[in-house]
Amino acid sequence: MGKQTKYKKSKQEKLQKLLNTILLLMVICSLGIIMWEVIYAKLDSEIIDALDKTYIVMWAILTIEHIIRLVRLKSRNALKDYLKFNKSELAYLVLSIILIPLGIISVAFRFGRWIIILKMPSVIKRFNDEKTFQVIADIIAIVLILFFLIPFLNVIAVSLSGAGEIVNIIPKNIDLYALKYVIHDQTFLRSFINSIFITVVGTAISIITLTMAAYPLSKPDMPLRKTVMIFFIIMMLFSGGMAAHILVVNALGLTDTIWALIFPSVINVYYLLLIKGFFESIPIELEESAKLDGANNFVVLWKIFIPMSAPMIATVAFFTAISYWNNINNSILYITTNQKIYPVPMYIKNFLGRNPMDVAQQMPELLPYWDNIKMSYILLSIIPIACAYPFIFKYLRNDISAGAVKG
Amino acid sequence: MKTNGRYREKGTFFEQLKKNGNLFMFYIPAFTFAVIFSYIPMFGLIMAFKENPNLFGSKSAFEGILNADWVGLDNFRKIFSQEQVINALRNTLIISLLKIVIIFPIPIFLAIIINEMRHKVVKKTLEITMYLPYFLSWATIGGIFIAILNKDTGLVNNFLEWLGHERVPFVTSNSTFRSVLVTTAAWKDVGWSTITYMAAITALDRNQIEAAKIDGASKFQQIKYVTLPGIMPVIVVMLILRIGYIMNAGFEQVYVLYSPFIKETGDILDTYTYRLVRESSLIPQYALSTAVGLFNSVVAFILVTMGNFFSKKFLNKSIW
Repeated sequence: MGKQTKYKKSKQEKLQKLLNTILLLMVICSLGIIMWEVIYAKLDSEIIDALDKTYIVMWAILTIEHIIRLVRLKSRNALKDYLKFNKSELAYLVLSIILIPLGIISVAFRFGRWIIILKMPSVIKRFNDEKTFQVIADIIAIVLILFFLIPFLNVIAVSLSGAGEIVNIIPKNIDLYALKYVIHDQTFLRSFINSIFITVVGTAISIITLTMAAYPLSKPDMPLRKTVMIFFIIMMLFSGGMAAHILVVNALGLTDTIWALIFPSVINVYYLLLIKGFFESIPIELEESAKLDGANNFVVLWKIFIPMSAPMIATVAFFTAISYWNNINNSILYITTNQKIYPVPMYIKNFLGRNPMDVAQQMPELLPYWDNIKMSYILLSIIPIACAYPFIFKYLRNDISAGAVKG
Repeated sequence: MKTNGRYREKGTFFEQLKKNGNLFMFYIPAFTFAVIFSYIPMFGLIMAFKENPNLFGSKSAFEGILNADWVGLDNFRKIFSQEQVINALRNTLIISLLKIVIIFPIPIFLAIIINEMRHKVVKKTLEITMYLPYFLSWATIGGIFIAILNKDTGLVNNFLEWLGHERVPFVTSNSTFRSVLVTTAAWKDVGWSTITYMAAITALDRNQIEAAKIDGASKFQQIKYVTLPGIMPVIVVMLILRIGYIMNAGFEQVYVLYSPFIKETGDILDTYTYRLVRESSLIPQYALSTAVGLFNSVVAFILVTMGNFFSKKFLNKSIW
């Protein structure tokens, strides 16, 4: 007996599953038809007509199935449950009965077909929840991967392609002229050296300054600690504005020197607070015992605090370095004429802004390769970041899992 | 440093001073940079209430600013009677709001999805690709997007043409410029912002989700009733902080993508103040620029402080 009922049930289930799959396919097809008609503008009117008819047929089937299902709901409780959990499907039924026939009569109501989206959740709901979620998640993920990746692929493809080709993501007619030109561009090389100098020196100054200031700030028995904190926090909240900054840098004689790209962004109050917070978590006994052994403050900072907070300081140093490498704000504000000290991003910005016709007068052979050269500059500027990226990525992953521990 | 000296004589903190007084030396580099590159420019804010300083006729910029005549609120009256400033203010707010409304929710859902994903390869590929744009400079990103949105050769327009649509000059057209700003901002920041929420989700108690699962909650219900409420405090703090920066519509981004064609929809307060100083045809308008900047930072200050106040009061979390 038991076996028989089990068999019977699974057959019914199979039928139900088949029905669900058909319904899902029909909903997806309907949605696909509408989207295709909107996205692909080259369709013949005959095909559009056929697609419209398919949509209406599918709408009719969906509606009939839906009504049958509603009629079959016998008990009051079942109806109540249905109303509670399938509001959107019911809304779809009511709206579609009004809108779809209107859409047949007049083109203006064709937008009404989009309400098929309302039907989607209740159809999807009938499938294994985990599986559907994974499928939807995969689809979203792949769309996003394409969104993030395609610009990079385009950069690589264009910089490798020959002159005058219209390139999307696959290089055509491979030609390394543009890349070779960019690699042999002495001024671009110099901008790289500038960038490296700015990043290394800037990060060093910034980290030394911040750790030194964070050390006394982290001591509970440091006099005027609160006042000094307020002094720094005001920096975070108020700014004198562009004009005043330009005037100060000008008055110091730093305009058009490389120091104007370093000094104004040495202090980042947020990082200062981060380091200070980390210093505060270092046990005070360590410091006291070192002091008993005759160590002074410099020794304590250098031998205890900095080694113990090395991961934190490395992180801050790393993000400071990234922001120095990418900074164009300082170059925009404080460099007026001296293009020799342009860092890489500003060099690129400047090059992209140039009129190809001006260049054509001096070097006419560059003109056909103009787009390729632009992209080659961009490609080369991405390469250093791309080389550092594996380390960044590893660090980010650790950071996320650390969140789980810290809570 | 002088005030510190004065307190030292008072002897109020005498014991502490005796022990830690020499530590004030550690402040010297930070104080120097702070005073020169933050506090002295703040003194420059008085330019907003003065005539434009005549920098060519005076010995130093400092003297020029001091000698300029006071004009009260004239500069503010002048800027707010200009159509351009009103336009820039409107653009700043619209662009910021668009960015908040469209971009802010994406990382939250992305974090939830990534956290639940089982397909290791897809998951890792997505993570690798989505963090990368954050580490690029706006100059580079601007260059990439200007190229792929180019009307004649750009990838996006090639695709549109293949689909049978007309080519659109995205970056140089008033009707599309703001969507370019939102898209590029999303491209750069979405992946990075996801990290905060991923860390928050990892920190959640996994048992709650398991319990919900056993009770028969669907995936959607688990997300709606367990995960989202769990990370809600983080979401609220991030939103408050984000709203605090509403006056900052992204100077570098707009500067890189800017062209005179899209002045009407793309000119923000920051680019306007910048043009007053660096690109105005005759004399740099320091006073007007500072007035616009002062207005901008006063509003920003109020917003940031309010945001911090609320997040401190209701969520016990603050930025300082």
